[in-house]
Amino acid sequence: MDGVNIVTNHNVDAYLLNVCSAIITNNQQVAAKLLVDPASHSLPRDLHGELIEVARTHPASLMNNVVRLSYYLPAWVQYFGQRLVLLSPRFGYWLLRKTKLHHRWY
Amino acid sequence: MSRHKVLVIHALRPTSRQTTIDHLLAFREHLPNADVQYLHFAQPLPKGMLDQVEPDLLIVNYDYLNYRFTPLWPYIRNRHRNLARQSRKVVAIAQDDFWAHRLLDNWCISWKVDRVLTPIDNDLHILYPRSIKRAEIRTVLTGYAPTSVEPSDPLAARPIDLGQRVRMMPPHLGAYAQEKAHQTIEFSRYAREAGFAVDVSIRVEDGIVGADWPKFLRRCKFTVGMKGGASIADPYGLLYARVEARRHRRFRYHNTPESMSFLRRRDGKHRFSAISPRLFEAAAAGTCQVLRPDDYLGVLEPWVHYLPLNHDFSNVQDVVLAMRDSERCQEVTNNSQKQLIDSGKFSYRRLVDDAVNGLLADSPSAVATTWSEMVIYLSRAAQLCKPEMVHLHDAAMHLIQETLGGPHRVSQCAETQVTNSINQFGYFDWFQEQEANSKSASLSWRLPWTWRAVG
Repeated sequence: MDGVNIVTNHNVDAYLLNVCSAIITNNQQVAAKLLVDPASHSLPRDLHGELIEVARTHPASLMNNVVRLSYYLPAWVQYFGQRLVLLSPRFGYWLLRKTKLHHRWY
Repeated sequence: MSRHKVLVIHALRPTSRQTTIDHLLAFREHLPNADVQYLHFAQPLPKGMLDQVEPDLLIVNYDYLNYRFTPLWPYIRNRHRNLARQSRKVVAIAQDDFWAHRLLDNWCISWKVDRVLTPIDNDLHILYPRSIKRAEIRTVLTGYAPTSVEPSDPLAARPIDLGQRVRMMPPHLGAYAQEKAHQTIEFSRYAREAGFAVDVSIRVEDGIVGADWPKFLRRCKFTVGMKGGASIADPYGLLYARVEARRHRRFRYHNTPESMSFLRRRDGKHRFSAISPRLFEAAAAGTCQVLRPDDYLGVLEPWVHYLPLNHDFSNVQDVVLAMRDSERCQEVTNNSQKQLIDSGKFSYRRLVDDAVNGLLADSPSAVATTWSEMVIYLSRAAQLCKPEMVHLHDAAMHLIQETLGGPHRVSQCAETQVTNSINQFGYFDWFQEQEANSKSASLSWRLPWTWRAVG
């Protein structure tokens, strides 16, 4: 904590950091928006390549087969199932990351 | 002299509306004699920091309570329950009460809430069957008049004739909830046919958030609206789950309550309605409002403060004709601005009074060491969430969350870039601490990093 040096007046390269965020979170929608921004031409080549890859390869939906199958269950089973799955930290951690639901904004 | 310790729990996210931000900041502005602090529920905190904070008043904002619709609600609810137990008084500000209202009611009992503020003023015994016996329930508004109003152009000088953004509400809230979107689309069609410049959308991706929304309204001559609400009560959110399941199965799915029998038989049994914050936002922006005739706080009259548009569009030609009369519309706008903004009757002070009056004890409790530590900690987080630094905050938090708990597959280029920025601005120690705090928090790996600090 003592080493924290709060700097507020610097002009953080917002576009570059947004690109990094989109790549880290595999966010296809944000990546697609950032790609059409004219500032994308000034990106380093490797970041630009990764951004294109995220925008192209990752589907907009975070759906996968596990989630899709759960929609065929009754609502109350979904309700308790969602909560039961999260009770186990190891399984929950694996499942949320596998389905990318940990990026889902409710 | 020691001051009252007031802690506000919120769930701000990057896409939060300006109303929500104003709503939160009102407590610090209108309680100058209290030490008001804002805590985001997902913010990583050092272990034990909240153990002996003992606030005089704990205020729980509606954006936090809206997480009751999610599977993560049990974790979110339990995370700060001890904090509520230590607090002298607890106030909950609810919205969308008709959605998962039994979960909300149970939460009120679990956290021993003393006062509930809700925009709904009817059928409260249905929404809060347990807490109505224990807690005081007050009716408030969903939004209030902003404190400072920026000067705006007269109507004649504005480029957009009709502007609005509305969300098509999901069908499990009933036909009444969807009427606002239908009315907007239908009226924009009439306006376009009459030759007006229209910028209206119900698509989520066209939404305008934060400070851009008032700017957009100041460019519009007219906006269209009505009271919001619902005509179906969904006690545990199960109707929502059923609707979502249908939507994803794509089997004979139509986005209307009439298309599903389990909604159709429930629709119309209740009518929960509340005034939208847009009423004040439009008045503050000096935009003329086309509204469905209704009781608007008992102060707005049709043709004097707004242009009334009947629910069956029977008078749409009169409204369109009136919209062509610039002088008359300017007068209507000025009247509504006088009534809603300049009168000062609907300022955020009213909300703060409703939340706090009678709950703060005469003598504030002594300031605990942990409270002072928490204040310093929260102010540091808030500095990082200022507009010029917020991108670094988000990128670094995404990186922390993605790499939490062992093997990960994060892009090396992005990781290097974010790490360089962290070092460049001298936040290395801070983010290391955030990472350490995240490891011990059960929510960290379950929730995306969407939090924003207020300071």
